[in-house]
Parts: sequence; structure tokens; C-alpha cells
Amino acid sequence: MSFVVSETFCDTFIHRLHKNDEKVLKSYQNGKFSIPKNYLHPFQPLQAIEKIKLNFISKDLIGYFDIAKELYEKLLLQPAQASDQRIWTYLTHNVFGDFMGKLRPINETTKGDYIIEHYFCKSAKALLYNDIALFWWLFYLTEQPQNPHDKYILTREVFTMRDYTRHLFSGKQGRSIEFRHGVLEYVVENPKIFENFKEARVRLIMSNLNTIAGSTLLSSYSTSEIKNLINSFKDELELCKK
Amino acid sequence: MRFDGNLFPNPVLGRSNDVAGKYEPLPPVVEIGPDVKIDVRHQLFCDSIQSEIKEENANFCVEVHCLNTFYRKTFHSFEENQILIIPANLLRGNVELNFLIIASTDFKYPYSKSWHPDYENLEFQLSKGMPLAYGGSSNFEVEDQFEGLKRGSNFIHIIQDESRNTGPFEISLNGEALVISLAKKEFQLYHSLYQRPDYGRHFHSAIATPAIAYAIAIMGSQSGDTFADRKWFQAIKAKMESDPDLQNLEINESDSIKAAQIILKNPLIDMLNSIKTEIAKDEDEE
Repeated sequence: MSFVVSETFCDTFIHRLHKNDEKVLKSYQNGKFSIPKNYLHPFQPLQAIEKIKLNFISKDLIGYFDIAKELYEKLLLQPAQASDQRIWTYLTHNVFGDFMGKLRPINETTKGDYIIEHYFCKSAKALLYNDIALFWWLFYLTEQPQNPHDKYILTREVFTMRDYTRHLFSGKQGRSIEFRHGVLEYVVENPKIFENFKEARVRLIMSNLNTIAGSTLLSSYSTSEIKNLINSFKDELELCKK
Repeated sequence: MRFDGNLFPNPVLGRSNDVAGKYEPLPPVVEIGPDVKIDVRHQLFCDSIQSEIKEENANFCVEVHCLNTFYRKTFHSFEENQILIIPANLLRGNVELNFLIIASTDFKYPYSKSWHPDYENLEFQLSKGMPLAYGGSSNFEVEDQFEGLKRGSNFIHIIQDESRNTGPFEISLNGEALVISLAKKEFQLYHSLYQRPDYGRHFHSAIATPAIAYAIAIMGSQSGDTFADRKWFQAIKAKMESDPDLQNLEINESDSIKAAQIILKNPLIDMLNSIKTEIAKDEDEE
């Protein structure tokens, strides 16, 4: 039987952790915390992924592409469901609790806000801080079902650099599919430009596009129009080193 | 793109007095089923912009934005009547609509007599996506539609704080909902009384009003934007923007207590009436 946590669980424990409530914090710190049964509700769709074994490799995203793909393909959620904090809070605490313990270790000095950030999902932006939610959402946001060669070509690119999660997806512009696919396609199609200083150059793209977005509705642009826009400052990109 | 105080190179109808005329979309009609159907009637009263739309240099558009599901899409039309269809499973919670007329291509925007004299005899080279008119915003709610994940639509949750036996209630803005945490003794009393029909409004007055007022004050403070992606923030903001009784109030500390009472439909009067009824009952029994 698979479950999700209740809203009351999220409300109660986010409140107590934010206050650094000694009793709750201690049970997380000594590894003894478990979700009380009265806060669990049956939720069938999670059964498909309960046997997936997530092994800790490193803090970088790059090693997790294959296992995240398995998680995404087996966890058949619609975006409206996948934006629900109760799913990811349950998965980080229970199903993938051991993996999370290594990726986001909790020790005797850990504060409540750190646990809220990585083990709960208190808002839309927090979906990008909860690592299990992040795995699913990176696939959803970058998948190209119509691409006959590799529908995950942009997803592979995103897994090379965690910086994308902070600069491309968390802002308002990156919520438009044409915008985010345009940026990622440009990076993938111009490997030479991004061979070095990739982080700085992607940030420059975002900074320039955000400036243009101040007076232009960029969500009205197609993917190829976004790429043309980036190409208009190609020289500046090639010179960018930090 | 923001219209509050933002400067655009060209005159924009709907932004201060840049352009004479009106662009006033009617409140959209929203039907929620397996698909969300949004019926939009753009209403434009400005000949110079009308002629740019006729030439297909500009078009009406609606930008749909759902923060919770990373959904943002712009729908275009050259007609005043526009119907948008979006699968409901792409949306959850608050959905914001922005109404604009934008350049549909790069073109030279010639001078018009309807422009403010500051722009006299000027013309502008517009790029695709630049605004000619702004028609304001609107929003609506999409509830959870999935069995096993349905939840209350209320953005206020009252919980028990097991770490305290008694004492003042606390308000937390850190989660999705606005959480009011009662100490054990208070929570048990609250729980035993809340179901009784006469007493529900007492809690609105004593607990919910200060909690919502506090939330509005924080929304209007410098740190307010850090909570913008929370469900409670979106619900209060939507209410403040759509309720005609709230439209003269600002999201700030000084208007917060008044706004909270209006949101809860003046709970004080109901509480006082209910106390009066109870006293009358007691007197009758005596």
C-alpha cells in the first residue's frame, strides 16, 4: 500500500520545524523521525515507484539522469498532481528516506528551516528544492515528445548543471515552454560556445533576456524566435568569461 | 513585463494617460471541466490601435500564468472575441490572466493624434511582443480534481501545537496555507465548539480576522514578495483584486484589519448577534 501525507502533517511539522521545536528537531537529528500513521492517506499512483532504488552518488545532478528517468516514466502524474506538496513530502521522508539522508544529511546542528527546504515542499518554488520533486519536474519541463531522435535531449543538458534550476526554471520567463526550450536548444546546438564558462554564459543569456522581457512579452515568442534573440548577442556570449 | 510604474519606449493605452481611448476586456467567463474554457471579450475603443490590428501588425492576447504548475502561455487573436481551451490537469490553484494588445511582428508604429502631446510627431520601431495596450488582469481558481488528492479549498488551516498546553495562538506564513496554531487546551475546546452552527463565526472574529490582517500586513511589507508563491498569498491577493468592496483598499498594514473583516464578511456583527441570542435564551429559561 502506498500513501501520501496529509495537509495537516505538512502544516503542523513545517510550523514546528520553523520554530526549531526541540522535540521534533531532535527526532529528525537522531534519525528516529517517522510520519505518524494518522497523517498518512492511501494514494495508489506511488506504488509504481516504491521499488526504485536510489543510490547516493554525489551532490551533482549529472549522475542521476537514468534513475530520475525511471522515476519520471513510472510516476504517471499530471502537472496538477505533481505540484502537490503531500506527494513529495511523503517520498522524501519514507520511500527515498535513506537516499535523502545521504544527499541532505541531518545532524545534531541542523536547523528546522533546512529540513523544511529539502524534505517538504511548502510552495511552487520549493518543488525545485525538494530533490525527488526536482527529478520529476526537470523531466517534465524539458521533455520533447515530438523529437524522433531523443525526446530527452534537453533533459540531458539540464542534468549537466544545477545552475539551470536556479536561473532558468525558478524565474517567471522559464515557465513558458517556448522560452525554456529555446534557451536549452541554443546551448545544445552551439556546443563550442559553451565548451568553457558555461555557467557564466547561461547566466548572461538569462540576464539579457530578462532585460528584454522588461518591455517585451517574451512568452509570445516561439522557440526559434527565442534562439534568434539569443543569437543576436552571440559575440557578447563568446567574450563572456565570468 | 510589469505595468506598475514601468517605462516603455512607446505610448501604451491603459498606462497612465499615454493614449486616449479605452481597452476594457469584460470579466472572462470561465468553465472548468476536463478542460478549462475561458471566454474572453476584448473591448477596444481606439481607432489607431484598431487599424494596426486590422493590418495584422498587432493582436489581442491573453497571457495565462499558473505559478503552481509552471504553466505560462500566451494566446493570440485578431478578433475581439477569443476562446481559450486548456487541459485542466495543467492547472492547480490560482490562475492569473493578463490582457494585452502586442505587436505581432516588427513594424513602424506611426504617430497618432490620440497620443499624449509628449509623443507629438514621434514614431516608434516596435519589435514583436512589445505592448500597445494593457487591459489589466483577472484570475480564477482550479481545484484539485484527482481522487485521493482532493483537499479543502480553504487557505486557512487551524492546527494543534502539541508542544504547548495553553497560551496565545500563533500564526505561521511559512507553508502553503496560512496556519493558525492553537495550544492543546485551546485546540480541544475549539474542536468541540466549532461544529456548533452558532459559534463558527466567533472563531472568524477572534482567530481568523487577526490572522488574515497579519498576513495582509506582511504581504505589503518589504519581505512580502518572498511569500508570493504561497497558496494563502495568492488567495488573499485574488480576493483583494476581485471583490468590489476591497478595491479601494491597499495591501498594506494600515488597511489590513479593515480588509480582513471584509474578506470574512464582517464577522463581528454575527458574533455579537449570536451572543445576544444566547443571552436572550438564558433569560427566557430563567
